[in-house]
Amino acid sequence: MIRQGTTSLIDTEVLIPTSLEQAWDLKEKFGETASFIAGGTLMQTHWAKGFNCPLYLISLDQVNEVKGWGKDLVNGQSYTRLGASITLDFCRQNKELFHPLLVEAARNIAAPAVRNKATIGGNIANGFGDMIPALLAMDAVITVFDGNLVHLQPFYDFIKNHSQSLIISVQVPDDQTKRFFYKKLCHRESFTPSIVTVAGTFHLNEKKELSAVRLAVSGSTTQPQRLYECERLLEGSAPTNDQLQKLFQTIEEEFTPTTDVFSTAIYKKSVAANWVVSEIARLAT
Amino acid sequence: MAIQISLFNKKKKIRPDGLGKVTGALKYLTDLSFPGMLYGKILRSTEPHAEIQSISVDQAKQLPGVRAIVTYKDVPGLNGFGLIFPDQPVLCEDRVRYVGDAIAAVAADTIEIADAALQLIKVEYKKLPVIVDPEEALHPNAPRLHPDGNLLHRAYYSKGDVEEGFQSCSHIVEEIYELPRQMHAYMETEGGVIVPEVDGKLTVYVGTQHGFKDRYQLSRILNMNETDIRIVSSPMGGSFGGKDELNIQPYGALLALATNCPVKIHQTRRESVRAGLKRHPMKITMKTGVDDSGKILSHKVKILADTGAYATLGPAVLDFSVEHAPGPYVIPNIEIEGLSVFTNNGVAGEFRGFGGNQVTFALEGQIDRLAEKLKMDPLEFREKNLRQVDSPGPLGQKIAPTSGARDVLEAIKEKLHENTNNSHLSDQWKVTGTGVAISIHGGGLGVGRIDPAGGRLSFTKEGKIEAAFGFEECGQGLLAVIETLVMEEFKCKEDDIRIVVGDTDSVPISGSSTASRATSMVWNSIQRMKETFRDEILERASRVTDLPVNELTMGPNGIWLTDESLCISYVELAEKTLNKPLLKVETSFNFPVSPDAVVDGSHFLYAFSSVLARVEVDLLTGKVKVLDLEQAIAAGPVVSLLGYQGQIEGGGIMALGYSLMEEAKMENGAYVNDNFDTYLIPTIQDVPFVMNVEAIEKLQEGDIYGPRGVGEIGTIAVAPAIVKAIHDATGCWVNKLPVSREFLLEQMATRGEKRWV
Repeated sequence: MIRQGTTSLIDTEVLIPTSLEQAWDLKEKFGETASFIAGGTLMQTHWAKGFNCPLYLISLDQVNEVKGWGKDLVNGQSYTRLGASITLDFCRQNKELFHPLLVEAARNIAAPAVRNKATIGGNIANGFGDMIPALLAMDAVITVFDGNLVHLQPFYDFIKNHSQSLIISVQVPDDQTKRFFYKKLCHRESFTPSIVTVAGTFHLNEKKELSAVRLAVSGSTTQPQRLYECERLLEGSAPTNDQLQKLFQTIEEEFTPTTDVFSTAIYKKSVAANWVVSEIARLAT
Repeated sequence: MAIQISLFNKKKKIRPDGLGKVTGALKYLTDLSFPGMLYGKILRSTEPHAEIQSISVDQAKQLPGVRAIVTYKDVPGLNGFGLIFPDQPVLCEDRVRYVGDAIAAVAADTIEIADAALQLIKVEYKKLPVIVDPEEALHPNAPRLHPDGNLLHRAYYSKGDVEEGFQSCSHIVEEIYELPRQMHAYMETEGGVIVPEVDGKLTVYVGTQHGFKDRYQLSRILNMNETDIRIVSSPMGGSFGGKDELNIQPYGALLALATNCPVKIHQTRRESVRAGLKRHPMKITMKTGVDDSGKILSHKVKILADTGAYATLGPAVLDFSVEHAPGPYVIPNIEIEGLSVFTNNGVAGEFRGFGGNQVTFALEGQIDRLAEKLKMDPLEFREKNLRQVDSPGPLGQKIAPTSGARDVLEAIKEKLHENTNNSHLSDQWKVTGTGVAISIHGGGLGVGRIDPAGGRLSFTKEGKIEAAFGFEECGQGLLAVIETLVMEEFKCKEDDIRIVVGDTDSVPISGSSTASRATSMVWNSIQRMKETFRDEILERASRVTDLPVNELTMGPNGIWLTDESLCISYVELAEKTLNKPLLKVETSFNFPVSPDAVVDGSHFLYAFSSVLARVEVDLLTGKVKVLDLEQAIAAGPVVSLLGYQGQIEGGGIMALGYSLMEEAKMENGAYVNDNFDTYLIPTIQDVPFVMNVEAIEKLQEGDIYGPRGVGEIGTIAVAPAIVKAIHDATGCWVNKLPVSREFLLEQMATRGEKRWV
């Protein structure tokens, strides 16, 4: 069955809480009939596809806790905090404020009109956003509200557990000594979802040995994933051609993308492997 | 970016409708509103193939705000439409054949109510087997989609003996080429307002490419006199062939008559995708052989077109493909068979290029593969087999003599020399390559088809030179063409001219705005009318001013003396001749056709193109980026410089999309990509930075036919040039569009492991 026609928005009520607690209580009250909304750029596309708009939209526009950016100390390490409502465009435009890997990820998402409205929090919350592999590769931490408490937790735990908590901010280490890469493949140059996105970071010593390797992969129909096996393989080694070939095979084994109507899993694996290996070769040799 | 004109430079005139369009001030027909206007929605089938067992509208009718619901029972005349024959039901009674089939239409106070009413209409279906593959459809045991079976049309041509020809060949290439279903992707989806008038007549404000044809088709459906229907059909936000056939007009008209209120229907993009026409997917098998010297001896072609559920212009598109299968080459032994087959897929019909794109992709693919086998330069190989000025047309018919084929080949050869030195790359995982392809493309509807042309020039009471044509402005720049030609002919200013198009109540019959014919026919009409018009206006001026007629000439603002002083303005002349009968000159004639063509639809006037594509292929992803796209076009004199450039560049970009990303996929009769989030057309980021257009304006001595249209030619040879460039870069031949990165990556991977460091 194919649903047709436009979806009426006339029955939807937009609620505008002014605190995290209020926002959470509204969601508790209306349950499945309500949804948090920030930029709304992704949700709009769902409505255009004929999915019903929720009866209640809980706007996070007036919630101060999710706004702004700043510096935080976490376990003695300096982090940049990005409020969940920071737009992708703000991130893209402020190269001096944010880590270049984040700026690169923001630059590659959607199109200007979307980036003006879309937020970091929304990109993370949808579960498939292209900021996610960047944040995974950077060992970010995330601050969330679960209705009772404000928590700080590793970003990859948040992603792995499909957490339903309300995102307040994401904290990114300020360490800029790590080498990094971020690459995204789409069916055209811009304004289209990712087929495969890869991101990676590592330290490189004078002996050209890698350490603190982080590798992450995703795609618009593929769950974001850390490549732990591959990270272990590279840890402490100086890449040779043979080892990179081994890395290639390990990526193909470890990465588990889905086949969708436009690309097969085999293709996504090949691209991810080609990219990660070529980038490691470029940055570490 | 730049356009090179070989003969003379023309002023870059801004098109008259340009400002309104770029500022958004211009009102399209879908922007119109009328007092008391209702909104219409169309219920389309959820099944690609089924019997309708019942339709119940009772519940929907109860919904407050619903004003009318129409089904097949409410069609007063013929329940069918179609440009060639009316096999598509306006509203289905007992069977649906694709997911765009209409079953009911609703008029309501708001779009939301109309939409809600659609959900309340109950249709019971009995599913039937779905035919998605044309080969399957031709199987003797396949369910019959239409009374005469599943073969819509067969077109055949042969000369010489192909099998004997192959015996003498030293190299033979046989390949199967597969071409996708492409969307027109016009910015303005189908829509408009249909208004019942107090005198019982009907005004249809809906874009189309041929107002009079819509009027004719609607009169059959509504059982009304044609003269009681007025079609206002311009401007349109794009068509590319997709709005030539009726779309929402019948439903708006039925609802307007049922409610006696104006009814607006404007399809959403998803509705447009589902119901609208597409470019024919084709599977083309070609076997082509050459002798040692590189002469093509034999060419055997089989074309299988998936025309979807209904005919529309399917037969004509197939005829065009068959006609263009030999291209601009002289081949002694030819056999071409085309089959256009009904399936339960989306309806395929008219689309810029009209079957030429598909067959040229295959033909030029053959040419490049043969050149490789012969170890011959592909351009030299083409040159060796190219038609001469007086060669017959592709199907042996007499055509207007032209050196176009050779001219475009020469032009692209020069571009190739200029383009070879800039392929240095810093990225070790990227390779570049260059490819060239050429094409021939017929203009007009072709022999054996009703193809009238004509126009009217008048001198109005307000002192304007009025140029009226039955053509439509669909974004192609028609108004600029008319304005430029009238200004050039009568040396007048923009302000002196009034252009009338797109209204069946006030335009003459000019035929359709299709088949690259409008510019050509405007020019020809003006040639036929200009002397009479000029003589009459000067005669009137002479009488009013008492000056000798041979000392008068037309010019800016009015009539001038040959000593270069304005003697009477157009406004003054109109005022002083108010009591005289209106000065009006009309012409009507037919589009020129070949005197001896034996195959229906074959052409007499042709345009030619050559394309140079340079691409970069990413060895890690298989991604192809077009770096340069240059075209040389031989289509006679340029009329409107920016319009010409826009057509070729725009056509090139549309074909780039066709080559690399566009495919309206269907699964079991349903569209997979139903909106522009998954059906991708190129954005500015996908468009090459360099896109030169060279216009070769030369015509043979004595050629009286003037400019040929360029609406389609810019789309034809792009895909084969891109695919050859990919081959040049990677060594991989591609037979299927859009080019699959996955396929390329697999092909490249077969060449051994990479050295990473």
